[in-house]
Order: sequence, then C-alpha cells, then structure tokens
Amino acid sequence: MTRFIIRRVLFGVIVLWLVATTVFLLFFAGPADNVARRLAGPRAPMEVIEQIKDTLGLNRSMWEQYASFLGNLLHGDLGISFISQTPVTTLIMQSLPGTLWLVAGAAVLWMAAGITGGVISAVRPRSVLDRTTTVLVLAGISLPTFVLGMLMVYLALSVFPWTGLQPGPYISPLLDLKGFLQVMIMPWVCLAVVQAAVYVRLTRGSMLDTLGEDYIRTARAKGAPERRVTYRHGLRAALTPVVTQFGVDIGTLLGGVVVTESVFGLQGLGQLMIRSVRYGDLPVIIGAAILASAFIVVANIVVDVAYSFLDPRVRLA
Amino acid sequence: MTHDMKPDAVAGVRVTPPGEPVVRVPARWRIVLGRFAGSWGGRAGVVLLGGLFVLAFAGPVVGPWSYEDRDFLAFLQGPSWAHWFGTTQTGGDVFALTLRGMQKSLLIGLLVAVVSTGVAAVVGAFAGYYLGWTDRVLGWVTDLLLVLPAFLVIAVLSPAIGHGAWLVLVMLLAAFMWMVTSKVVRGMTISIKEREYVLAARFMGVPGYRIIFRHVLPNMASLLIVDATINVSAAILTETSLSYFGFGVRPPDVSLGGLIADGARTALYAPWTFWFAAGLLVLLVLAVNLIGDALRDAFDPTSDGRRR
Repeated sequence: MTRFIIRRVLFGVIVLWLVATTVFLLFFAGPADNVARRLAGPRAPMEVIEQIKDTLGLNRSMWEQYASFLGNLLHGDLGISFISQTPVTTLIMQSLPGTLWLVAGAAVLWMAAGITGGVISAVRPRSVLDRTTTVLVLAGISLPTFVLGMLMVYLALSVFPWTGLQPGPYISPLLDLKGFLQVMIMPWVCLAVVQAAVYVRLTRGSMLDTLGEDYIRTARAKGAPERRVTYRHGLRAALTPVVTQFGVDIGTLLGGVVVTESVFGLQGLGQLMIRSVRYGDLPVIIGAAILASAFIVVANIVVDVAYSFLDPRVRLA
Repeated sequence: MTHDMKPDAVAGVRVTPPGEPVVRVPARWRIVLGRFAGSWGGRAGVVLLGGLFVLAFAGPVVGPWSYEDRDFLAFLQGPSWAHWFGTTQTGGDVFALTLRGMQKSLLIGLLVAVVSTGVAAVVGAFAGYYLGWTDRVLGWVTDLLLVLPAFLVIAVLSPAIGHGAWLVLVMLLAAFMWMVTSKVVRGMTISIKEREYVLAARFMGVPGYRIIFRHVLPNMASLLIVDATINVSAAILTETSLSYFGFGVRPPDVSLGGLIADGARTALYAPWTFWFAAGLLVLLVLAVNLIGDALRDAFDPTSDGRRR
C-alpha cells in the first residue's frame, strides 16, 4: 500500500513537471521580442518592451530561463501579477475559498441526488419513476450551465425577490452566515443540477450491471434481505466508476468553475482565470494552470487509493 | 476468405444447402437501424435535429436580413414582420444572427466530434495494437492532455487564432476531447488483437496499420459512433461557453454563445435578444442527446424489442 502510494506520488510529480514544462513552452518559447510584446500588449512603446525583457531576464538563454522558472516554482513562488502588482500566490489564496465552498456544497447535493436517482431507477427499471428520472436527466445534460444560471438569476431577482437570493461575490460564512447562504445557494443548485444528471446515469448503468452479477444471485440465494443485497452487495461495487468520475470532477472543478462562477459573479479561481486571460496577465495564468493541474493529479491519486477500500477485488501492487 | 471481408457480407451469406429454402440472416446494421427507428427518442431526435438544420441553413435564404446588416431605424425592437425575432441594441436582426450562430455551432460540433473520435480511435488502436514504447509514449501524451486545464489553454491560445480561422478552434477543441475514449479503444484493441481473424491476418503478413483499419476499428464501430454523437453535444457546449466569454468564435462572426452573452445584458427588458438563442441552443443539444441515447440502446446487444 505504502509502496503504491509512493509510486503514484512520484508519477504525479513527473506529470506536474511535464505540465510546467508545457506551460513554459507555450508562453515563453520564441524570440525574446515576441514574448515581451505579448506580455506588454500590442500598443506598448519600445521602452516598455525593453524594460520587460530586462526585468524578466528574457535576454538569457532558454535553458537559464527554464531553470529559474522551475526553481521559483519549487519555492512556491509563482511571480507577481502584471496588472495588480500583487504576488500570484496571494491572488490565488484570495480566490480559493469561493471555489472550494462552491464545489464542496454542490458536490454534496449532486452526489445525494445522483446516487439516489440512479439506485431508484436501477432497482425498478422501466417503471414510471425510472422513466421520469430518464427525462429529467436528459433535461439536465441538455441545459447549458450559463443558460440555467441566467434563468435562476432572473427568477431570483424578478419573481422571488423575497428569498434574498442574489448573485454576488463570495462572503465568508464566519463573517456573515446569512449573506453566505444567499450568495451560495443558487450556484450550488446550478452546478449540482448539471452534475447530478451525469451521476444518475452513471449510477444507474453501473448498478444495472452489478445487479446482474453472479454474486448478487448468490447473496439472494443464501437468503440475504433485498435491502442488504441492493446496498451492501450491489451499491458498494457499483460505486467504483462513480468514485472515479467523482475524483476527476472534483479535481477539475477545484481548478476553477469558470462558467458557474462568472454567471453568479462569485469571485473564485475561475473568475481569476477569465480576468487574467482577458488582460493577458501571464504569471496569474501560469499559476492558475499549474494549480488546476495539481488538483487533478492529487484527485487521481486519492481515487486510486479509494478503490481498494470500495472494491475488495482491487489489489494495489 | 480474404482479409478484407466486411462484417456485413458475413451476416448476409447463404448458409443453407441447395434445394432448401434460403434463410437470410438480417444484416446487423438493419437490426440496429430498425431498433433506432423504433425508439421514441431516436425519431424525435432526428426530426428535431433535421428541423434545426433546415432552419439554420434555409432560414437565412428566406429571411429578409443578413447577419451583417444593421437596421438603423430599429434599435432593440421586439419581434415584428420586418424583424421576425426582433433587433439587437445595434440594430442587428436577431433572426439572421441566431441562425448564423446556429450554423457555426452545428458545423463546429459535428467537425469536432468527427476529428476527436477519429483521433481517439487511431491513438487508442495504435497504442493497444503495438503496445511497448508506442503505448507508453501515447499514454504519456494522453495523461498530460487529461491533466492540462483545457478551457484555460484554449482561451489563452484563441487570440492567436485571429479572425475567421474557426477551423483552428475546431482543432483546439478536438485536441482536448479524445483522451478518455482513446483509453477505452486501447483496452478493446488489446482484446480484439487476440481474436482468430486478427491472428490469421497477422500470419498472412498483413501490415499492422492495415489490420488496425480493416479489422480492429470496424469492430468498434458501435462504440465510436455513439462516442462521436456524445462528442457533438459536448463540443457544442464547450464552444458556446468559450464564445460566451469571447474566447471562441469572434466578431464579426457570431456564435450562439456570444449572442447569449450579449443578450444576457438586455434580457430583462428585451427578452427576445436572449431567449431565441438560448432556446435554440437547448433544443440543439437536446436533439443530439436524444439521438445519442437511442443509438446506444440500438447498438446494445442486450436490448430487445421490449426495451422502450
């Protein structure tokens, strides 16, 4: 087990190094003048470009630049934003709570709804409940997040203003719990609706496959109550693909829930990314990209370890 | 028996000795098509998608305005005989703009799906067939692309595309969509590789790339077709989200995402600027999803006539 984890972590580090190198090549490869021009914007005068080349050391050889880029990265130094002149790590730490809370809250909602819906329709396939679920799922996966989000904002502001729900920047729950809920409930529901649809489908398919397995018949034959067969024997094994998907989704979403955050004006990592891309704020873009990749790598490792607990057939070597 | 025998030919072959009545086994594609046409969702999806296609490509011919026209006598007017879907803040005809956006979304969605499924099939099959170093290198590329934040990378690279080069956007979108399917294809290739007909072809000295395209990939046709359909809706959703932020299709060309973003600013007092584009986008994705679901059920060998 320990050996497996160590190997996975080492592999994760290599992947992250590859990501950092790719990002470096994407932005810094090419003649120094071009890079400086890209950083300074198309209308910057020649002096500014020269200055950028000096301060960033773009006149050094590629290898030297690459070495210092990796060196800074290892020290957790992501550089300083061109636009706001604050360290990138500070900007990321400011945006992180919004995204964390959004993903955590939505994840609880969509896992509860997704697994319940999936199990109900798998236990009684082709029943009215199953068919209703199928239609709802189809609606869920066909609704683009920004359309659903805007619909919710519209309803909250013009039809149900008494609820106090509103789009707005993240407020810490420690400072103002009511304000926090008023801001977060809509993004939670919006993100969860789209995700839950995927999970209902996944759980239903996986559950149907599992319930057809021989050991389920054995469990029934030995007289285990149907409840126990469904949940203990069936659901536990059926959850494996769900857990994989969950890990991948959490990893991806923590890197920034771009659409949901910006529809509801929540100041999270996704918003930070959009802003930095718009203003060409390169250090922030690079920092956000590496952080997003790191989340995915870590999530994958956690998923692999979680497998062994869920499915006794999986042996980690 | 030649190595380029098609599966259809096998299914239609006469198996009865002469003299007895000929029993024809229905070809697999006929069964699949029959099941597809028999499902409620499949029919609804095809009709809906067909209707949207006709609307997107015939509508602009019928409509009185072009998407580039500006009517300086009608700013932000509601639907009327002159402007069927109303006008925008700058006097653009919402009908013409929406249909133009839909054309772009349809084309991008279909192309991205074809390209990404094609890449997935080729990469997965080569990795699974040759294994060894081919597999390792392709696996690294796959894992790396899975980890990179796609939205961010496309958003950063898209200004470099320049105006009008939407085909580059198609390539970028496709580049981030093939990885998961390619892993599935790799797994299936490894098992198909051990089948007798592949072994026979190998011992006859048929080169590897030929075996892959003639024997391995055709046997995954059902998986690939369903995957391509799902990718159409995924591609449309990603493209419209990118365009919503202004990182996808750029002005002067229009996309449904860009229109929805513009419309959102005026949606409260001029709902036609928002709802037509949003509604058509939802219908489009719904139609593709209906077809995808029906296809998956039709290809599923365990599904019978009673299903649906």
